[in-house]
Amino acid sequence: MLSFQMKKWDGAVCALVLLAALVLAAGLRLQARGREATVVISREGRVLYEDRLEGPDREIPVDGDYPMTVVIRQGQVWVEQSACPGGDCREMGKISAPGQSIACLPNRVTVAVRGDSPVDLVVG
Amino acid sequence: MKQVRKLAMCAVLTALALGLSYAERFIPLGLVVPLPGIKLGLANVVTLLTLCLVGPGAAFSVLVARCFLGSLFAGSLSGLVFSLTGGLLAMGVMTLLRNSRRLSVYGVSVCGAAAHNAGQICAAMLVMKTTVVVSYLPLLLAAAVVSGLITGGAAAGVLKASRAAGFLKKERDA
Repeated sequence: MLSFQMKKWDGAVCALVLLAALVLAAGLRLQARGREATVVISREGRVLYEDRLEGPDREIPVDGDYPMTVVIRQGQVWVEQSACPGGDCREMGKISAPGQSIACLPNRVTVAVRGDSPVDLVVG
Repeated sequence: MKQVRKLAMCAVLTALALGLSYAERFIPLGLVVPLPGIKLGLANVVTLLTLCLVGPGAAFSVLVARCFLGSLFAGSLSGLVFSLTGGLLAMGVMTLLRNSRRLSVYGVSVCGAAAHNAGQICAAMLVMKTTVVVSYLPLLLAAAVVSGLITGGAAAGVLKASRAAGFLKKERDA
């Protein structure tokens, strides 16, 4: 039977998970460093839109089961409108740093800011 | 344990898991952690309880029943693959660790929560066919430590009460 009182090793496990989070975050940051930021919108690995983050303000309509509108303005990207019931993608707010992404599960769509060649990261 | 008793126990635990996963929607955790859709993972408490009170086989049945019934009640099957992947991975990790002498309920719960979140990201990578969703993982792992400790505390409380009520001892004898 497991103990009900916290033990030393519990702390070690917590520290380990936090360390993994930090290493992963640092890795993602490092991988994207110093390259030009690109906005990539894709559905199930197919790229729907790809262009530089910097540049003119844009509104990109994305169709699908739940049509949505992605806005790129002043170096930031966000989902302005979405017909999906959850609205998680809108609540994700604005992203701008390479490595960040917004996922819309019902639509199977991801909006990502990337700092590298997008081909490297697409699976399947 | 007698079959009838085991069945009744699993039914109660499944109902508890469904009730908890519904109830936790009303906890606005998104206000603390800036990640929409983030949950406390109270249903994971039930997996841990079932493991300790009944056994791994029962924990599996309760988990699968909870995931299917939960998505049935939610009216869509789209979330099923995510809850199953996360839930099964969490269950697997906690099953392996449940006899650990070095860890307490808290540590096992944290490992379960971390496995759950990692599993959901894996499911998302497969469904969306992209690795960019990994960007969610660091924050999810950090959140798993906090939520795992909270749900671990809940599980410890219930298990303590079960032991006081003579539940645990009987289970072991049976």
